[in-house]
Amino acid sequence: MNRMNRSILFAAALVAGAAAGLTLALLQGADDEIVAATIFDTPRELPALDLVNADGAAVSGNIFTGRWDLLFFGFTHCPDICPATLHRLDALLDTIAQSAPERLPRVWLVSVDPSRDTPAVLADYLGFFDARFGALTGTDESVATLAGALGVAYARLPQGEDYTMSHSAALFLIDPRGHYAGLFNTPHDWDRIGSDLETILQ
Amino acid sequence: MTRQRRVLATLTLLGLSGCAAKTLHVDDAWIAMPPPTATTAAGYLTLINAGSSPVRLTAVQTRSFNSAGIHRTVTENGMARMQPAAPLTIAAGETVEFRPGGLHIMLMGPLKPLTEEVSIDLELLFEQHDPLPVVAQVRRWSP
Repeated sequence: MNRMNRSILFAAALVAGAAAGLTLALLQGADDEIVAATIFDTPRELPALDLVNADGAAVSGNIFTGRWDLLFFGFTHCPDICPATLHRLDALLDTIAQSAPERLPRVWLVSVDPSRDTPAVLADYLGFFDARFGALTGTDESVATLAGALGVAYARLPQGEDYTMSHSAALFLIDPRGHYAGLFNTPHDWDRIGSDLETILQ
Repeated sequence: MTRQRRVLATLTLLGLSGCAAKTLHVDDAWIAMPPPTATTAAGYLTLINAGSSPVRLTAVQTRSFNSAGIHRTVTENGMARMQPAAPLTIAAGETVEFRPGGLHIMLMGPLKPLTEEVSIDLELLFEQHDPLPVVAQVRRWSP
């Protein structure tokens, strides 16, 4: 090999090395980038709660302090999107429990149908999905107070002699100080939610 | 006709009759096992119209529930709600997926326990097509 060929090879190796380094840097950068969540510049304070959990115990003040919390608003008579979302959240918690159990967020189902979703009904329902989930219900007014603070809309829709609910399917993020920090809006891309949560929970 | 040609002709006939019987068919029908206390459940399937003309799915019926319907979960401005989705036209050659978070068979008032691997008979009703019997197995949720 003559000298010129050698220097071309050397230059090519340098370029390839730089390209590999740049790609790695870009990939690492992409890992930390929030892609699915909307995170507020300033987390918002929440009103004092006046709710009941699945054990029937009164929940007041701010119970969302100390770690991250994820809130989903739904109801137990919901056959499709609520079970689908809860199963996804269950799988998400499994993943986090394996990689970083100390960062596991609390997941809450907040009922938008409190007249049918009593604490006992919610306890049975959640037991089927994931023992780590919590549930919140209460009076129409007390649920509306929390929903209002998070900008959650829901409505009762007649369905024959019965009724169903329309409701926000977003996931709400409460930071360890108990402040409303952001949300995952729909449609949900669960891979992106998973990688965003890894970054957020750090 | 040589022996080879006769075999080919027979095979072609068999192939054609197999096709005709399966113009409209369902794959992978299942019901997401609901919590034991649930009063509603959702069924999912893949509906394939391999025929040359469109069909209209008008209703679903079953003896295992008080009532059943074709529903769709729609999400608009972040709000999820269910709406009736029938009649639903399936174009010639089209495959329609009933999947969690979208189209589903809404099943209300189970008349028998929906434990894992229980089979539920459903019947899809169409305009200008015979009813299509479907066996959906209850199984644990999968995406």
